Amino acid sequence: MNVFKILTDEQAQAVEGQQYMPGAFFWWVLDGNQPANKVLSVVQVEQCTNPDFEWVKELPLIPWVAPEPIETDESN
Amino acid sequence: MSWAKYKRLSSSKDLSIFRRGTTASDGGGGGGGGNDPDAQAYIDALDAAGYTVSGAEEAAINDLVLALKTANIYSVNWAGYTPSSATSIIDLLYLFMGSSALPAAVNLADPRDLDAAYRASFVGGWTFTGNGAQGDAISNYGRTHLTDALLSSTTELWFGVGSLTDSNPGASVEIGKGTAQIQRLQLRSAGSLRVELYSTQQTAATADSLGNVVAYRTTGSNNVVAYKEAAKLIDNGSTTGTLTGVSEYFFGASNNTDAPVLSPAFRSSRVLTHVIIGRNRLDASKATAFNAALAAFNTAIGR
Repeated sequence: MNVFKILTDEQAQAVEGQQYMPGAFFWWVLDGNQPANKVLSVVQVEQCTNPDFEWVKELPLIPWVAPEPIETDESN
Repeated sequence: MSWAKYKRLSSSKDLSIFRRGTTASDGGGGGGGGNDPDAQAYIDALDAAGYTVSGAEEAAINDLVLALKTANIYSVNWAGYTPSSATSIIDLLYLFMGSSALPAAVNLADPRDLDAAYRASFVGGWTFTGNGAQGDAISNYGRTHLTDALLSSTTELWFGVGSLTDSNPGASVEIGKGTAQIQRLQLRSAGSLRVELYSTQQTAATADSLGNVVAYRTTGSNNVVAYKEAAKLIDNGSTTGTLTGVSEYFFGASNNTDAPVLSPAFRSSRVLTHVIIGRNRLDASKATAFNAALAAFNTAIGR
């Protein structure tokens, strides 16, 4: 599984609170690399129909490295 | 296409003309003059969101609303609702109709396009197929805009969810919020249905994560009870707690905070066919009637 790597803080700020299609909003996450990358999932980028954010489709694809779980199942 | 009209996180778009319309002249339209007015209001809101329901879907929506009313499960916005402790209330019921986010977000219990109407907001990766809403398990969470503060501390919370996906991850939350007073529903994690409802986690082994589950707290014992379709899987964990949280309920993930901020965790990648959050206790009759009504709805529309 791959994800799109956000390259700059400005790019991360630009997508926050914005819609990639009507009614669905961008949300970047930190991956499990050290240092962590800010990434957008393929689902968001491939479904992006917002013309103001066509540039997300040009971001580099990198392998998805899941972050460590923040809680165990037992305590969950 | 103008995107301005879709910037809706704090939308105040007024869809009041779509409420209870039953004829073309009063805003109903669509040939649904014979439908229950609250079913028609939902159908009209779907249309306004860009999705035109089929005849079979229209009939299924109507049958669902009528079945819920027959079971004495109402939205406070619905015709025929009269305040009563015997009536269980639906605050939100998402049926995830249509193949895009806008119609999928419409709340059957209050189909206005407003956060205050608990219209869903989809955040991160989601896909919509008409069968339901599915997160990508990387970034997804669903906002209800509903908090315990809005429900009031004396409310008896209940919730439920349906799924078309059979999976068994370590932790996958379909409805959830909080870290101190956790309220969560997991259809199947590490082999078990898991419910936290005022109490510590109650579990029951389950063979799959398919179908409809609804959970509530019983009168008398205050046990946490969960029905999967017509089968009672959990009846345990008596507690006398009341709602104390301030964070927002999520679907497709848990809001892992007790603060009025957003902290998604434990994302689910299941195809969700519905999500419901309500108040005023269910009982066995209502719980099984509710699951049966949702099962019939899904069958009728080919899910």
